[in-house]
Formats: sequence, C-alpha cells, structure tokens
Amino acid sequence: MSDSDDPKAVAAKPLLDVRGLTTEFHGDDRVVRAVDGVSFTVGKGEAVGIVGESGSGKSATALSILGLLPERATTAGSVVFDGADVFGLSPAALRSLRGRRIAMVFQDPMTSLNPYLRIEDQLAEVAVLHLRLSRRDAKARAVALLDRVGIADAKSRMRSYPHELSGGMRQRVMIAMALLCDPELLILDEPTTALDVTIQAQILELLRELRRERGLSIILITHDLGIVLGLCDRVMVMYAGRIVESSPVVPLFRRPLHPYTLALLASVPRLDGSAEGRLASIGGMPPRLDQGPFRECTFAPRCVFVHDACRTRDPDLVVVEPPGDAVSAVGDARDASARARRCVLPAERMP
Amino acid sequence: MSALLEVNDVSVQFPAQSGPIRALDGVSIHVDPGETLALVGESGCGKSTLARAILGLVTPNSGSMRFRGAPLEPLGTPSRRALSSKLQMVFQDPDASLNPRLTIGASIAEPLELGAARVGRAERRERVVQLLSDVGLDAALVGRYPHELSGGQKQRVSIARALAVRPELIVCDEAISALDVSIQAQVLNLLVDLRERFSLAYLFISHDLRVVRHVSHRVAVMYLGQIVETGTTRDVFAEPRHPYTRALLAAAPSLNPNQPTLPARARGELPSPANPPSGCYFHTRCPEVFERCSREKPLLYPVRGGRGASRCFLSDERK
Repeated sequence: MSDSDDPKAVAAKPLLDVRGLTTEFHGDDRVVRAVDGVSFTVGKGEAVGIVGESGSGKSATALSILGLLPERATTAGSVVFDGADVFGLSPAALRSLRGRRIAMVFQDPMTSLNPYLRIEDQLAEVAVLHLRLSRRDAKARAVALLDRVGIADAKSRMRSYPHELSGGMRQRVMIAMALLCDPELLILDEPTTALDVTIQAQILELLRELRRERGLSIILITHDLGIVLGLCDRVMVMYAGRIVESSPVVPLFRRPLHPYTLALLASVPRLDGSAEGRLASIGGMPPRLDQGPFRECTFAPRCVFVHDACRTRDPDLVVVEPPGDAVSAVGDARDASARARRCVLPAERMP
Repeated sequence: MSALLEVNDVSVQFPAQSGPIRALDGVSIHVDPGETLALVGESGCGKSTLARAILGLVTPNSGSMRFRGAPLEPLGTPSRRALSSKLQMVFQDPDASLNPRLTIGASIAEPLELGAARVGRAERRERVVQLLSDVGLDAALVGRYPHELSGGQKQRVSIARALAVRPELIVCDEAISALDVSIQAQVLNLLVDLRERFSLAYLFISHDLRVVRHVSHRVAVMYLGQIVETGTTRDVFAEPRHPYTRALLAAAPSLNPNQPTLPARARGELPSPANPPSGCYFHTRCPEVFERCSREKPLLYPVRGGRGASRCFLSDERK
C-alpha cells in the first residue's frame, strides 16, 4: 500500500499537522460539537483516509482545516501546514493557500462548477488567478490536465457547459481543476459517492496513478471502507466527532482494534466470504452531539463488548501498538505507523 | 409454481426532442411467491422505469404484465385498485414518501382507511402498534412527526406503511441506498426477516452488488434498458457470464487486504439511452469487444444449462 518515505522521516516533518481540532456549530438553543479534539498528521506523499458515518465529523474536519466553516461555527486547536499556522493566516493568505497548495474535490461537482460558464473559462480562471498565467497559457495547461484525467477530446470538451457532461466527466473536470496549481495536498470529500460503480472504479484508478506520479499528499473522506483500502496508507475511523481508531490501512482490515471498527467492517455486505445468514448490524444510533460532554464512552450504548469500566469515563485515544516498542499508556497517536484506539477493553478480549 | 409477477417483453419509450428515448427495451422478468429478484444496474439502465411500469406509474408502449395471472392495468382502473393491497413499494428517500404533516401513526394507518384493506378505527390503532413492532420501532413513536426521526427510522416507517395492507410483493427501489452502513445492515436484515415471516416476495432494485448478494435469490442485470444477464444469485456471483456483470463485480471495492481491488474493466462513459450504440449496447465499453459486436445485436442466450441467460455473443453455446 505504502510507497512513501521512511515513517520516521515523515513523522519528523509532516506536511499537515492537526492538533486538538475542535469545531462547534452554534444553533439558536444548542451547541453541536461536530469535531472533538481531533489530532493527526499527513506526511509528504502520504494518503490518509477518514472514515465514518453521517454526523461523525469527517467532513467538518476537512472544512475546519480549510477555514471553510459557516459563520456560526467556532474552531479551537491548531492546524499547521508546512510550518505555517493556518488559523493565524490573513483571509487573503488563506485563500491563496487553499487554491494553490491545498486543493479540494467535493462529492457533487455540480455544486462546485458554475453552470453558466464553459469548462474552459472555469479552469482558466483558476490558473490565471493563482498562477498569474496568460489566458492562452492557462488554457493550454487546462487542456493538458483534462487530457491527463482521461477526458477524451479535451480540446473540444473545453467548450462544453457543465450540464452537457456526465457525472463522471464533471468529477474528472473537478480533479483537473484541483490539480491545476500543482497542489501539495489534495482533500477529497466523498469524491465517488455520486458516481456509478464502473465510473467510480475509473476515478479511483486515476487517483492512484496521480498519487504515484506526483507524490501528492491526500486526505480522503469517505463512508466506504473499501475505497480507503484501495487508495490510502493510513486510516482514521471517526465516531461522534472523535477519532476512535487510527492505524495503517492493512493492519486495520486484518484486525480492527476498536469495537466500532469491528462492527462497521462486519456490517458491510461483501463480495467475498459467505452470503448466507444475517449481516452483523450495529444496534441503536449514534449519540446526539449537542449533549456532551460525555461521561462514558460514546460508543458504549451500541457496543457488544460493553462493561462497567466503559460507563465510568470517556476513554482517551491511546497508542496500543507503537512500532517496535512495548505497549505504552501515552504514545504519540500521530505517529504514521502507530495504532491507536479509544477503548478500555483489553485488545485480546476482542475477536 | 405459477409466478406472482410476470413481465413479458415490455418496452417503454419517453418522447424527447431528439426522438424517443428507449428506457426499456423488451424486458421480461418474473418473480415467484416468497422470492427476491434483484434488479441491478447503473444510472439509465431502466431499473427504476421497470419498477414504475409495474406499479402503474408509467404505461408501457408494448408488452404485457401480469400479477397472479391477471393483467396489470393502468393506475385508476378498478382492477389496479383491487391490486393495491397485494403490491406495495418502498422508495429510496423516505422523506419523499412520508407526509411531513402526518404523525407516524397516521401515515401507517392511512392505507387502512381506504379500499379493500379498510378496517375500523379501533382495529386500525391496534394494527399500527403491531406494525411498528414488526419493523422494530417503539410504539411511543406513534405521535411523532417524520422530521423527529432518523433516516433509518423513517425507512422503517415506510416499510411498516407498505406492510399495512398485507401485500404479497414489495418493490424496493434503492430502499437502503441512502442509509449509513450500520443502519443499512439493520434495515436489510429487517427486510429478510419480514420476508420469512410474512412470505413476502421482493423486487429488489439496487446499484450495489454487495447488497444484492446478501438479499436476493435471483439476479437480473440491466444495461441501457435491456436485461443483459440473469441467473441465480449464487451462479451470477460465482460465474458471471456477461462482460458487463464481470465489470460491475470488478468495480466493487475489496475489503480484503489480501485481495486488492481489481483494475477498472469497463472503459469510457455510460452511453446515453437516447442514443444507444449500434450492435451490442455494451460494445463501446467492453474489454472483450470484437468485430461482430458493433454490427449485430446479441440475443439473450441461455447459459449454465438453462438456469440463466447472457446477452453476449461469447455466451452463445449453440453450435
């Protein structure tokens, strides 16, 4: 899965360093803590997946990093991108960072594309604005990228309006637009969820190629564990606004360490294994996020392994398998090769 | 055994400026009592149009449909009204099928206030409580409104509403696609339990092969308005015969770290149903395309000793 640098070197100087990120949305009569003390790093060339169900805080985490939250939201913690404190940047510096060095692709390309502009005008606009290219150079660059992302006959497609393209082609246009300024970090929020499966397979293949080719760092946000396995080095599982498990990808699929991860993997219908019998399902529903702070493990009400200790306090995210080290109570969960989880159940008691 | 539902050579065309769009092109399926037939395919393959035709929401241009041997007539005719208690549906978006101004109890009771399924007020109340428990919901939700419920709970209410009239067949159109994985599994298990308990048959429409494998007895794969492969679920997943079925299976992301996701097999974009390719509709994207495919239309050839069929020249076993 991983072809990135030596993990120690990556950990020494991550491209993105998120610490204690906490985001709250303020409603008229309640406060929803959508992201609760999230810390992680993304190394150069590393792909990190954030997996979770609706309301787990995965998209809010990405929007917080980019400073794209609505006005009624507040953020605490720190986000450092290549040594610069993102929350301390001026609005202009933040805009420039977002367009040039960090790019984002959302689920629905129709909400990110202007329906009144031809593809060429939208792409050229980005290149002219951020790279100060001439119109002609900007167009040439756009055509080259459309071609690269697999749009046949890119030159004539440049004259199309978004509605004239299929969903898959629009998503390719969005990826081309994201790559225009040669970003170092690409944030993908459910990039294939709205697409048909055969088109999804093509887009994932494209992302794998681009990753290899350009040494891009990637944050992939998705509800689909299978997509993470196919694209990422490391994965963070989010539940109720927090990271409940963080691990290199392959070990997580071999042996999940948090009961929620275990249950999530068991509840996905799969093409391998038995099709007989019932799917394991997770009973109940996630907690309401306006009712914290939580005095017990937030997953306890739905957990099949729950015992008394789970009800007395909310566990911390603790490193359980540091590389080449004995189990320690406090390790750095942000270490690229560490396995960490937020659970008090001894790991050997899990199947 | 006589089929519960029979669809024979049904075609549906929608008028468009550039000429008629063939949404369904000579589709034949059948569903036996107590059986689940899955209808699988991507956007524009006609799976939802077929569901709408069966429910009487779309009138076919040709072909015939029968339920328990009697012709399925258009919506509004007396025979269709009589059938409404036998044939129910659950759609993808419960918000679109539940009236936001009705309480959960009133929504479930509504089908019991009309037509053949009509029952008195006291029995209605009893039935609603029983239905809520059948779908695993707390009876205390009776007085709540849809906006107070989660997506999974609302979908359970839609299922309770469909069950209210004691149907024999429920058409589920992407009924669990909008739900989170953990909730998806709950609702899928519920559908299977209800099938056993009430001897229901399902026409289960989905784009997700992983889900289909767990719920259906037989599968029909559709592409651009045509059935391209049919078979028992076991056969189709173990030994897919049509290149499109194989492409769909390859496209499902693997959850097994020892078995990496396969490279994409279907090239290019889905063609528009308004302007389908010549010959075999799949030939523009098929990894196994050869010269005959763009010239001639393949038939649905019997495969696996007649237990299935595949619309591909490579599946033609006649010599």
